[in-house]
Amino acid sequence: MKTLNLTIDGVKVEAQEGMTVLQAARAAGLYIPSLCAHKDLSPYGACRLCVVEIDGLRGTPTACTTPAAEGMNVRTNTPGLELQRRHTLELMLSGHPSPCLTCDSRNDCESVKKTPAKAGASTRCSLCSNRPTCAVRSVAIGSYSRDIGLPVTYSADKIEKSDPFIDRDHNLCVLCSICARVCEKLHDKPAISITKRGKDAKIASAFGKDWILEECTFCGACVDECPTGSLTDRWSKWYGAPDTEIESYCQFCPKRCKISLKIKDGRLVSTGMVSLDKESTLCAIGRFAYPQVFNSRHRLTRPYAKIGGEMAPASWDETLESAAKILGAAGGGKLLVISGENLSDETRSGVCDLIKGLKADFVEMPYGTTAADLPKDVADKIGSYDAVLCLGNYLTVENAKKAKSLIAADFVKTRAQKEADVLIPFAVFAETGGTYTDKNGSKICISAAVKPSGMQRPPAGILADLLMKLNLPHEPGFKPSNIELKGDPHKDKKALPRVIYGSLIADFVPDLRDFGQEQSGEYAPKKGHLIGEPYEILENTLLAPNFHMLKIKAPEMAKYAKPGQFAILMADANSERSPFTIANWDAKEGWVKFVIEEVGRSSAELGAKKAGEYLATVSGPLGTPLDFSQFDSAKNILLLGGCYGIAAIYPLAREFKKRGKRVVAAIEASSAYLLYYKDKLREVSDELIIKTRDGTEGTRGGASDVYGEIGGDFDAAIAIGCVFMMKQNSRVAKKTGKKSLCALNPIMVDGTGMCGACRVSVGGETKFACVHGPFFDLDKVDFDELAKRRSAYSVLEVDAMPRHEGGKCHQQ
Amino acid sequence: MSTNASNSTDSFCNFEPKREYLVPALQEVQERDGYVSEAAVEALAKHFNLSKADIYSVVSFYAQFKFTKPGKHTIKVCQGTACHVRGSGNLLKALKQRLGIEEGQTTPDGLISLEHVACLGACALAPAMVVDDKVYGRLTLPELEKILKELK
Ligand code: SF4
Ligand code: SF4
Ligand code: SF4
Ligand code: FES
Ligand code: FES
Repeated sequence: MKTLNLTIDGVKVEAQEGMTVLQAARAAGLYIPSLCAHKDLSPYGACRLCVVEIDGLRGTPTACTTPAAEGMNVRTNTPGLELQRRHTLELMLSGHPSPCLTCDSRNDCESVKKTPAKAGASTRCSLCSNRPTCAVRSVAIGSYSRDIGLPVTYSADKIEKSDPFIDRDHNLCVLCSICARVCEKLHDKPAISITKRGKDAKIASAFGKDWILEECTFCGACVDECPTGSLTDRWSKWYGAPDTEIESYCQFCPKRCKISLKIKDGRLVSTGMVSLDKESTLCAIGRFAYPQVFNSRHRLTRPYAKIGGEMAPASWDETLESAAKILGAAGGGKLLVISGENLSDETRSGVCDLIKGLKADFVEMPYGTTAADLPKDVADKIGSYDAVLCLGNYLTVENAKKAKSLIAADFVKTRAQKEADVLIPFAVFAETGGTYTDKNGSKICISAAVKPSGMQRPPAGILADLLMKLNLPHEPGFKPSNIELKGDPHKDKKALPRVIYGSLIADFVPDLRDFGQEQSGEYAPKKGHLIGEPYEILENTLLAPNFHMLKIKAPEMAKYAKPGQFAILMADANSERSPFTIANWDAKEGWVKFVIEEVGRSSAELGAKKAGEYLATVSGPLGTPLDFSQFDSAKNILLLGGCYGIAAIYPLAREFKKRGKRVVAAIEASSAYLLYYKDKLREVSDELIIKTRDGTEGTRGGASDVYGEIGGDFDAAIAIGCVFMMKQNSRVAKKTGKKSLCALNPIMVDGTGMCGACRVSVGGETKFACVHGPFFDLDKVDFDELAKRRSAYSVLEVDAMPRHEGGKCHQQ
Repeated sequence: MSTNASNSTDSFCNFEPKREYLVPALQEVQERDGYVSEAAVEALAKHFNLSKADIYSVVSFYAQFKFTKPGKHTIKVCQGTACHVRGSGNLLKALKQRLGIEEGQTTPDGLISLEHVACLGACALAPAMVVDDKVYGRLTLPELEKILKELK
């Protein structure tokens, strides 16, 4: 291969023949902004961010499509190119929710909000799951984004959630076509493509139908390569970028594809392809179902044994001791062993030794079978054995009841386990290793990649311990499994694995119903019973993207509510309890209003409720109302509101007004499209000042700028908003020396003083916002400590998210 | 007029399965059927060895292609300047509401398709619309109702 000599920005650079100018620059460690160029895809040249000037070439060619040539002199960052790039970005990002990119307080804000909030819609970077790895964002920030004059045309198009596994937010798409090009590379014919044109252009499948109805196999490659937050993995996106990736093999089906295990803080959060080529493609089970099954809340995580006639949590030693006793007593044809076919060589060999050593009868359930498939003659004979050892979910409750003595080993909890005398939790998938020999004799070796979430242990090790306790020798002559795969799960949605260790995969991954997979009903939720009266929703209006106004019929609460109080809401009987500030109420008409920002599980469930539906619980009013007597001598009051706080200052403004004060309300939002309640606030204040971080309405900046400028003219100020907003205002408060309060509702989790989430230091004293608050001295709250404690809740909150929006049964 | 896939295939079989012939083939389908059906896209995908998404991407790029079968009657509302000034926007809105469809769509019973045109050249009659070949001008809502009732 010929070596070429180029000059890029005055630097002498060597490149290999066949490289593009962009590749040559990258190889030499030089940066040219780019977006649609992808290392594993052929040049495309659509985004025009990589424009350069080259001596002897007219205009500004794109570096990603221009082949490097001998003697080329390239310039990448002349003022002309920078201007051109800025215009390109303006066009590309005008419909994008980009206020964070131009915000002056971005670094400060993001040091408080270390992870993006789990919002319903990504209306800015701090509510976008893609923030930690976003290519658009880094290009924009690298190109002096604060100087970009972005016209804001964010159109808040609805996020498409009707497909399994994948959320699509077209508002974020920059039409780089990486997704469609990846799909074409992996599957020859792309299942998706850029459709329509102009402002209607969008990534879609044929006729814009749900992808499940068209050619997509749900390999997830497009989701993983999309440089923006447009295509996301609904289940894993909020865990953030993994810190470790380990190459391993999928253990769901005998195809045993290579798979990349994505681990964060020691926990498996996602799976993906090991490299972007056809051979490494995954099926929907490997890419999407694997981490969901693995992390299922139905996992069996500790051993149990009958000690003194009662099933109870037991130590491993007690458990194995009990198991060995039962097994030993049932030797010589009195024992039935049932296991599945899809097991590692080590596990199979252990089972083999046990059967031979104890002269047990053995039933091997073929790949893909469940408890319902246990042959009838076997089922009929269960009662005739002294003991049954079942590895996997192969006994119906009915059959389990027939066993005189039952040792059940599984990786999940099942109903049949109620009949067991010993219960053994299996480590599976990424938790365990093993050898798999296929029917042609070739072997793969897998090693464990993460620690089990509980006490579960690898099946081979458990069997080895049992053999030792029973004094049984290792016997030669075990045979590796010999499973024939029917159909290719990579190509045919109908050929996807359906069963794992005797359990239906769809039981743990409801979205698989869209693929025609059935659930057993094993885990069907028990009907929750309502606590108290159900509360009717009279209205659910979207005030701004993510902000729902819920008007609820609650005559009692409306009678007693006072400004500053909150109520606990629960969407359904099995939802979490969550506190929300009462934004408005009418005692005569008997309703209360809440403004709910969709940033997590409870708020998402509440936001999804429609008028005419009911909430399981609305209890309140709770919390100490604002004590207005402390303002008796004050004449001028400044109210500062951001996010949900815009609604929260409304009842305060109204009351202050009633008491004859001069009220000025200053509200802030990232961008004009996130403002609401403007008219309502104008009704109850003498002046409304609007600030937006991107300057799209009112003046540029935040409420704390207003506070800083005019705070001296006021006798008191109250700030309500996100932790960062209140922190900014508390800095000002410290300087003014006047009375100032904040309301700490947004940090409360259950509002009862039980969870401890709302613990704060105020002037060195520890307080609970929900009990002692919500109002505290703005200048005395330690907001840095607060922010740190908030981020600790992050992972638990992701676990609690409702993430199964698919499963709508497209295949009716 | 045929909508079934096997017939669709016949008509473009004489196009070589090369990408540059896709648009001519689509034009022929539209000419014959009045629109590009899902079945036709599927047949074309097979013939040209492309994905349905590929073909849909091309079809949806050009405004000339339609995706819905034209109704028995076609109503075209003039959106020219004169008509616009005289409230053809409201006329179109009323039609959309009354028929429950958007422009470019056909009522579920297959009776009426709704379209808009740049200028009918009947500016004196603004606001104007054409039902099949007949021009109606200076329309009011009650008149519109009457016209719709008479379409069978
Ligand atoms: S896609 Fe990137 S730039 Fe856009 S909102 Fe998300 S993080 Fe920000
Ligand atoms: S999930 Fe895979 S098959 Fe489906 S559109 Fe994306 S890349 Fe194509
Ligand atoms: S969805 Fe993502 S990968 Fe596809 S075009 Fe849009 S931004 Fe690019
Ligand atoms: S990276 Fe070169 S045009 Fe997009
Ligand atoms: S919200 Fe849980 S202790 Fe206050």
